[in-house]
Amino acid sequence: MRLLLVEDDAELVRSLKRDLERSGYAVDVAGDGVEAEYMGNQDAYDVAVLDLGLPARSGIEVLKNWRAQGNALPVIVLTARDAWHERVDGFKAGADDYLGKPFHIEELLARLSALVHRAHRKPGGRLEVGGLTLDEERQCVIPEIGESIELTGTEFRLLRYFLLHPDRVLSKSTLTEHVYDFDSEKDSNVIEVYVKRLRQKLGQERIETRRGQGYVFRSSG
Amino acid sequence: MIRSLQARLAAALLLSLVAVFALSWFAMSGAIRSLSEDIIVSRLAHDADTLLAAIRLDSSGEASLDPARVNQIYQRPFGGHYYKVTVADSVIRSRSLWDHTLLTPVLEAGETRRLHQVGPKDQPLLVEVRGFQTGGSAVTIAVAEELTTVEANIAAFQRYFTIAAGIALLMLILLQIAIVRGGMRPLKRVQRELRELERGAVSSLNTDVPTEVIPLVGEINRLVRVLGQRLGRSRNALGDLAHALKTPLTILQRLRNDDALAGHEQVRMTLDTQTTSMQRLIDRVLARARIAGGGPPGSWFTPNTEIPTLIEALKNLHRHKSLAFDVNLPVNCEPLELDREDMLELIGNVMDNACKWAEERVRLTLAVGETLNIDIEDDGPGVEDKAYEAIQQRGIRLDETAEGQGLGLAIVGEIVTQYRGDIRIERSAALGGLRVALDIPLHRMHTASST
Repeated sequence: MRLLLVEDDAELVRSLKRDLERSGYAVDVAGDGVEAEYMGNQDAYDVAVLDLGLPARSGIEVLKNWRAQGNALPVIVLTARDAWHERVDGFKAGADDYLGKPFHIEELLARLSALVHRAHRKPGGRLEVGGLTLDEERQCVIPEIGESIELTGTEFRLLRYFLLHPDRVLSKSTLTEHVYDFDSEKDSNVIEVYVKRLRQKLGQERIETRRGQGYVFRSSG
Repeated sequence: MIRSLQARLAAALLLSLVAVFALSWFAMSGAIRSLSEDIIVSRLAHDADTLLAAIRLDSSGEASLDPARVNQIYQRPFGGHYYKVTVADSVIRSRSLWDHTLLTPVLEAGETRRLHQVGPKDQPLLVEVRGFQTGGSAVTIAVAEELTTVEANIAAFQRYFTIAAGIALLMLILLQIAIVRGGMRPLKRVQRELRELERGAVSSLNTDVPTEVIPLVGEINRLVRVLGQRLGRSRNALGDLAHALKTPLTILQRLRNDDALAGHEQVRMTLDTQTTSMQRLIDRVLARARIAGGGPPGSWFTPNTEIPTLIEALKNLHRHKSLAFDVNLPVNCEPLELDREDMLELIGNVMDNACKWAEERVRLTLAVGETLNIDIEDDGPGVEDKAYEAIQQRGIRLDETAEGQGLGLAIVGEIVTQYRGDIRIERSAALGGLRVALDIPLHRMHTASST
């Protein structure tokens, strides 16, 4: 899950980035409004956390510009400006959710996860596809029958992306883009390795290889 | 000291006019008198000359008057015309004097004197006395004429003058009252505009006022501007400070989860309680700083456009609960003279609280009458029956205890107080949960009823 974190306070970015990455997000950071608007339009992100008080261009303006250009990137506004009229204006500008500072990281994570699910038309608490249930807090997967299966960080991110896009052809580059952040070394061969590991844990037939196209996660076993 | 400007002006005008009229009364009476007397005196002088020519001295030196040359009017007793001719030691008196005599000094030749005397039958007399020298003997001729008609004329004039002056005085005072009233009308308008200024319908006073009032209006406008800037500055400074504190506070709060603090439960707890209380303080300061309590027409609250977007925001914020919202808004409601941001803060907070506690249903009813009536109900657990009583007794000062009960209505209390509104908290009869009823007075109705 690739996340765009737009926040200008370096200290907050440092701790927030660490927590978000721990929860399985690949995090890129934009420190000002202009950079944020540009990055958000790159089509690589699954969700954005947007501060409103930004240098160069206000968060509200960034959000309005995204929406005006048809960019439907799910956005959660994270701001100290949390008066009700500001919240209303935030939603009017196109925010999907709004969280006032200071906040508890648990609430942000819960809202992010709900927002990502919603964006993929998967309402409800846990992500469940074809008998597989993803426990996002504990980062493990629970099959219909049997014990829960532990996942490493990258395996978790990859599986979550598969579960959010079942029965669709996902290219290696798409998977790379959404599983790793901007600064990571991108080697599509690594994806092959992780797909192989997931197959070992979930069964060969779950992830189908389409030669020259990519992979398909099958919702029916 | 008379407090009313009107009365003070009227008194001053009355005094000065009375003084002017009195002065002219005396001056004109005097002028008429001396004019009339001058005419009489010129006639008397002529008669004196005639009498002088009529003097005859017989051989013994006894003087007499030639009757043919003496005017008949001196013959009628007490007729108002008299003379007394003194030649050396002998005195000739007119017949009209009868037994009366004129007391006159003996004058040297060429001397004249004008006297006022009381004559026979208490007639006021003007006496012209002249001294002559004729044929070696000194002659003093006194000719008198009754002044009754002159006095009567003067009295009549004075009466008419007094009546006319009285009428003029009355009319001038009425005119002055009208002028003062007219002059005060711009002040009345300024007063009305000040009221509009207070509730934010206008941003400054109209300077289209009489020249004398312009400096005052200018000063008021300047004061309003300065106070507005000062208020804005301190409100902004307060708001900026509170906002600026929020990010560092977030970082501090996040420290609680830091691995370095693992095993230091005491430190974690302290960090937690202190940051939470800081957050509460900041929220309260921000909330207070934000209340506008009225504003220019551009920032008025229009329920039919604002409430739907607020409901959308609430739906987004409480999406996980899939709540049903019953919203009843007045039809075709015009913008209300209430600050949009204050009203969103007020309704947003109460609605947010209702959403937090509701099972599946939240109801918002807005009614516009003499007040804006906001009714918010939920189907949540509400509070204990005893707690309703406690809340009611404390009135709108909810902030001290409400947070403990999960009401979170501190800012609501602040806004309601600012707008001199009323808040009622009770069990919702319809939904079973909490019912918060807010009454916010509307200025529109306020002014309509006071004029």
